[in-house]
This record gives sequence, C-alpha cells and structure tokens, in this order.
Amino acid sequence: MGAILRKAFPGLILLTLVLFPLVGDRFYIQFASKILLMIIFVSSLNLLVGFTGLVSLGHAAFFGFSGYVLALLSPPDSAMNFFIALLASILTVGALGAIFGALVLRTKGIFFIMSTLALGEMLFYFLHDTNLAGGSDGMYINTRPNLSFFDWWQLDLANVVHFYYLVLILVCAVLLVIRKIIYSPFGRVLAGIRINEHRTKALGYNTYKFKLVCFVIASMIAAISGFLAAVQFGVVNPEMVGWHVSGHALMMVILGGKGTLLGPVLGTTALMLVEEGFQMVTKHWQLLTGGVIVLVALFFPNGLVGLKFLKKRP
Amino acid sequence: MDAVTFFIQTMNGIQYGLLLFLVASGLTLIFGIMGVINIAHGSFYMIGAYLAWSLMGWLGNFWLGLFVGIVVAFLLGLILEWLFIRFLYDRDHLQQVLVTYGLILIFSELRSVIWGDDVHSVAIPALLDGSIQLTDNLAYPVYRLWLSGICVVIAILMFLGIQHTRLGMMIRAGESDREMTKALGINIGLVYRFIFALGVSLAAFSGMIAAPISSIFPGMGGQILIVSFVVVVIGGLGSIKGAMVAALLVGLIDTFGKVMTLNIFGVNIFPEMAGMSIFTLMAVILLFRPQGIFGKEY
Amino acid sequence: MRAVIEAVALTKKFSGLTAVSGVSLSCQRGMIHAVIGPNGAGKSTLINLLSGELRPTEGKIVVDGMTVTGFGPTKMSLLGVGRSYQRTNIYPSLSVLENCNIAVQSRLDISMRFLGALNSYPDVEVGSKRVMERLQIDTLGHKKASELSHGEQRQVEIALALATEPKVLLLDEPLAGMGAEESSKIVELLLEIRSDFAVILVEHDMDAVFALADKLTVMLNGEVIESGKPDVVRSSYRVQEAYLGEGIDE
Repeated sequence: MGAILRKAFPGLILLTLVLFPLVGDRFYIQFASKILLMIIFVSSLNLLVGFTGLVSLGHAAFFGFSGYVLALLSPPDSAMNFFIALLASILTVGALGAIFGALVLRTKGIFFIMSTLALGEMLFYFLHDTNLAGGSDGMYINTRPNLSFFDWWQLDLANVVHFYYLVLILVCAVLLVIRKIIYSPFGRVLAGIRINEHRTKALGYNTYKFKLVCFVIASMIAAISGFLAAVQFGVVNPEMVGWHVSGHALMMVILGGKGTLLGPVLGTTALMLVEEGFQMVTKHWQLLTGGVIVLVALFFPNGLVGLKFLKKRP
Repeated sequence: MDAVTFFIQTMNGIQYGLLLFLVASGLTLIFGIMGVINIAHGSFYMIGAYLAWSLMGWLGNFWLGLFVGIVVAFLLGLILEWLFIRFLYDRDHLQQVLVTYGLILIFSELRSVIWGDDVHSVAIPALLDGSIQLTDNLAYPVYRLWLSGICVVIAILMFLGIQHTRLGMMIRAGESDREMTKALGINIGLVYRFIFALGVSLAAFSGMIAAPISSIFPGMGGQILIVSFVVVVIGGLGSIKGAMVAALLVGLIDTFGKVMTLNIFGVNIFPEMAGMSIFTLMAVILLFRPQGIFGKEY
Repeated sequence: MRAVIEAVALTKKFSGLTAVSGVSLSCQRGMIHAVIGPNGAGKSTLINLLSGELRPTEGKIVVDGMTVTGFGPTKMSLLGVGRSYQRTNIYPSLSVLENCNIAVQSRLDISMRFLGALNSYPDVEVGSKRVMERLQIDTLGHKKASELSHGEQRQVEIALALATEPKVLLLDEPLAGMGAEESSKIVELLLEIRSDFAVILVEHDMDAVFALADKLTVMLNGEVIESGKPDVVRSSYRVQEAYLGEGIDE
C-alpha cells in the first residue's frame, strides 16, 4: 500500500493541479501560479545546494534580473513575442551567471556563501541606485508578451487560468530536465563533487568547470522563474534580486528536503501557504516566519521528504 | 578636490574602515573559534544603534547609555548562544545560515514592534561635541577622532590577544577544532558562550558608537553585514591583519566613491555607482587572489 | 627501460619545517618501488607531491619524459598518475558500483553530457564490473560504501585508483587496517597486475613490502637514507640503525 501510494504520489499531485482551475477561484489560481513559479526557482537553487553542495545566498540575482531583462526589452505600448523574450532573458541571465559563477566558484565554504551574497547585493545596489532601470521604484511591463503559435492558437497571459496552465507546463518541464540532469553522467559528477570534491578532483575531474556549468544552468532555470514572475505581476523592482528572496528560497529547499526532486515542490508550497496564513493573523508575520525557519533548520534538517511515508528510494 | 577636502575624506574613510573592522572582526572571531557562520551579525549592529537611541534618551547620558547597552548586548549574546547557537557547532554551513537567517527576520520584526520603522538620530555627547579647526572655513569633528581612537584601542587589544593567547592561535590557524580546544583543558561550552557574547557586544558597540554620526534606520543591519562580508572576503580567513587592511581599503574606497565624480563619455559614473565600488574591488580580489589578500591558500 | 615517473631532488617545506628533502626516485612499468620509513619520515608528503596535491618547494617531477612539476591533482590524474589514500577517501553515501562509475566515467569523455542517463552508457558499467571483479568486491556492488567493513572500504579505495586506468599507481599504505586475509588478497592482486603499472608503494607491513618490492627506498626525517634492491637494503647498517627502537617486523 505504502509503495503504491509513494509511486502514485507525484501523479496525484499533478492531477490535482491540472483540475484545480476548474474549482478554484481567481485569487487562489493566481496564488497557485505564484507557488508554481517559485517551485521553478527553488528547484534551480536545489540543483546548486542539494545536488552539488554549493550553498548560494545570491541566487535571487538571476531570478530578479531575468524580470528586468523582460522589462527592459518590452516596448512601451506593444507586446513582445513570448518565446523571443523568454530566450533573451534566459541567455542574458546565463551570461550573468557565468560571470558571477566564475568569480564566486574560486572560493569555498563560507567564503562562497559570503561572496554570493555580496555579488547579489551588488546587483541590488546597481538596480537601486542607478536610473538605468527605474531605480528604487523598479519598472512596469505595460503589455504582457504575446504567446501564440503561428496565429492559430493564442494564450492570453493576462488571463489567470491561461497563465496558470503555462506555468504548470513549465514547472513539469523544468523538473523533468533537472531529473534528466541528475541521472546523467554530468549529474553523477556533481554528486561526486557534493560528496567528496577532493577525491573527484584526484580522479581527473576539473571540478571548477563542472561547478561553473552547473551554476550557469541553475541561473538559467532561475531566469525562467523570474521571467514568469515579471509577467504575472507586470512589475519588477530591486527587491526581487535582494538576499531575502535568496534566503527564503534556501529555506524552502531545506523545508522540503534538499537534494530531492520533490523537496522544492513540497517546501515551496508549505512555506508559502504557512506565510499566507501568518499574514492573515498578524502584521508582524515575519516574526512567525523567522521562528519557523529557526525551528526547521535546527530540528528538521531533512525536510518534509524525510517524513516516513514520503521516504525516497532506499 | 583640494587638499583639505582630501584630508577630511581620508580621515572619514579611515574612521569608517575602523568601524567596519570592529564589525568584521566579530564575524571572524565567531567563525574562527566556533566554526559558525553568523549572518545575523548585522542585526546586532542594528540592535546596538537602536539601543543607543533608547537608552541615551531614557538615561539622558551618552556614556551611561553606552555602558548599559554593552551589558544588554552581552546578556543577549549569552542567551542566544544558549538558546540557538550552541546547537550549531557540529552542523553544516547551510543549517547555520538558515538558523541565523531566521534570527535576522525575528530581530527585524522585533525592532519594528519595539521601535517602529522610523529613522532616528542620536546626539553627539557634549564632551566630544566640538571640532578641530583645520583652516579658516573647515573643521574636523572631535567625535569622529574619538571614534577612530577607540576602534584603534580595541584593535590593538585584539592583536595582542590573538598573538599571545592559545585561543588566538586557533583564530590564526583559521579553523575551529573542538578536540583541540578540549585538549587545551578549557570548558569549551563556557568559552564558546563567552566568545559569542563578545562578538555580539562588539557588533552592538559598533552600532552604538556609529549612531551619533549616521542615521538609525531599519535596513542598517543588512547593509553593514554585506559590507563586512566584503571585508572578510577581501582580507582572507584567519588573518586579523587582513581584516584590518581590507576594512581600511573598503572604508576609503566607499568614502571616496561617494564624493568623487567620474565622468566617462559624458556620463557621470559616481556617486550613483558608489554602492558598487567596493563590490568591484571584491570581484577583482576574487579574480586574482581568491583566498583574500592575506589569506592562506585553500 | 625508461622510467614512467621520476622525481628529481624533490623538497617540500612547510613554514620552516622540511618534510621532504632532496628525494629522488623513479619507477618503470612493471616495477613496484616501495618507500618505507618510520612515521613522520615524509612518505605521505612524497606521495602527495607525486600526485600533484602538494606543490614542491624545489625539484622536479617527470612523467613519460614530460616535466609536470606544479601540475595539480586533476592534471596528474589525466596524465595517468592514479593514487589511493592512507585515510579512506571514497564516496560514503554512494553504492560501491556508483563509486566505481564515477572513476570509470572520468576516462570516457562523456561527463559533460546532460540528458542521457548514465545507465545508457554501457562502457561505464563494463569498466566498473571489471575493476570490482579484480578487487573481488563485485558482490558488494549495490551496498552503500559507508556500510562496508573497514577492509572492504579499503578495497573500494584501491578500486577507485585502478578504475582510472593509470600508468602510475601511487599507493599510500593500501593495507592499513586490513586483516591478514584481506591483506594477502591485495598482495596477490598487486602481484597479478604489476606488469601493467609502475607502482610506488608506501607501506608499513614489511612482509608485504618484501613480497612485492623490486626496489626499496628508505626515508628518515624527510631524506632518503638508503635505496636499492630489497636484500641490499635489508642488510644496510644505516637502515638497521634508523629502525632501531621500531624494528623491522620480520
């Protein structure tokens, strides 16, 4: 029974998600889209933290910057082609990821944590203090990109249900790609680096190169998420690249269970729901969030996937 | 920029650098001895500044406020170590980051509950509220000189402590080793609690003495934390000398970045980009000397 | 026959302390060159210099006629210098098979492939099976490395080194902590495969050393005090003197 339940679990989740817009109202569908796009971001961070052992506190840089790319590219009063805009965001952020990665991966341990945080904040100050992209107010995306297949089928991204299904498809695609990566030869080297980088080097792997490629991939996946966030809210601001976004995502990785595919899905959903609840209770909800983070990190480091009935393969 | 302005900015830069050293050295102290990365360190700086504002208001005396503030911060450090930090010694960096990140949220929200979200300022104590006349129309505030002086005194005490004690030896080695500490025959539980409280007091003290010359605002903890990280990365691990040099470098570059205007192709780069200058320095260091200026190779 | 690996006057100083001082040695294919000496003689430092994990203060290292001084461990491994560690240095949370896979994969030029699962590359499993059979750990393939006995973990340690198909094998106390039976298995294995490698062996087990070594170098306080054929070294007065107090177990 347990085994069947475990096998069917992802399928059940997916079925619920596909059917959800039929029953949920507008507000909840929007909220669900927000959770889903965050799952993409948290999964990309999990690729670094959980699968490769690189604890980054600056990952939001890629999330937020991707939104900025869309905002900067969008013409003021007409729509952009969705695929071109998305590709442009992913590639630009990938280039930024390569530069940041090349620098921070020269350090290890806490220096890696510190320098990722510092570089992320550098981007924050850059966006906040200069007038290149709207300064501290950020930028609006007046017209959402246009998603159509050769004029015969079109998605309306301002329609919450359409947008929801788009995000759902992308979540599934991203999770499949990450799954592919971790079981690939490349992914096995990442596992080697996470478990014992010293030996992996001695076996003839240029671990710097592998970590850099992984860092760039993770930044590009984060770009998908940031792009969707910008489309959903129609606005970007410097806080999107700030370290609180990175910190929260890190928390979601741990809460769900690092180094597992399902972890980010569970962790993101759980934390966002809990925070939503806290916000209804008190204005000072961050106090409760902080408490939850401390308690989870101290007493629950294996996350939700560590729970008995969700136990991963033996 | 004339010579007098240059002199004043240099003094300001050094003074900011010395302050940064105090904050960053607390961070290194806690990491060097206990192996804990404490990203809530900036919060203690923020708490120090708000404490200064409250205490100096209630007690009506800067010096008394300073003293009570240090005691409060030390007690806070003891309590926090007992409640949370002591569980982190054998955990990985990820857990340490998360627990201390949770503490940041808690402190930030508590600050909002206790003190509100307004910007405040603290008056310079009467004793130091003067200026030294440099030229007919330029003067340098005595308080800033006093602040630099006190930082230098603390720095010298730290240098001596690190050169001449066995705990200092561990910081220089750049690694914490509970077994080794045990071998020294010390009650590590108590030593760690004391060291953590010391680090907290150091950060809070920095916030308190900085309060009269800078505004007190909600985001000040995050700001100082990130600049301290830049200092530690530039200086390198296990090197107090490195932390000092890096702190001064960062202080000077940041200060001059804010007053200089660099005109490239008709675009004024500074001071808009002042916030970027120290990060650029860090990027250059990472590129050419990833272990930091005085750090040992990994 | 030309030496596959050669060290010329290697010196390593750690802030004042000289761990290895002017050590020269060489090894050819098919030969086992044992390095012995009391603890702290600098044997492990020597291995770390040869494997590229430490950078020599002075001297040079030559592999296949090419000077490789200052190359890091990754480059050395790719040049065909494989090593095992004195303190077991494997992937504890992976299975034995997965451990070997990572090592085998390093020679197949597939490691930058993202999308096909590792299972779809039969060469990897073939290579791993072969090396596991050699070390007689093929029945343990699906066991987690951390759950193995100490001796079995030592075998995985050597398997990782062999799986990279090196020309030079640096073995840093391969028998450390092994039982008599396991030790003799490893000695037999080394005798069997010796013709394919140049082996530099650091070992405390003197029975094994004299059973295996073609050449013996004795180190003391970072220096070579004697080097030559085992019989000659055994009867050397200086070696006997150096070992006085510790005694060669025979």
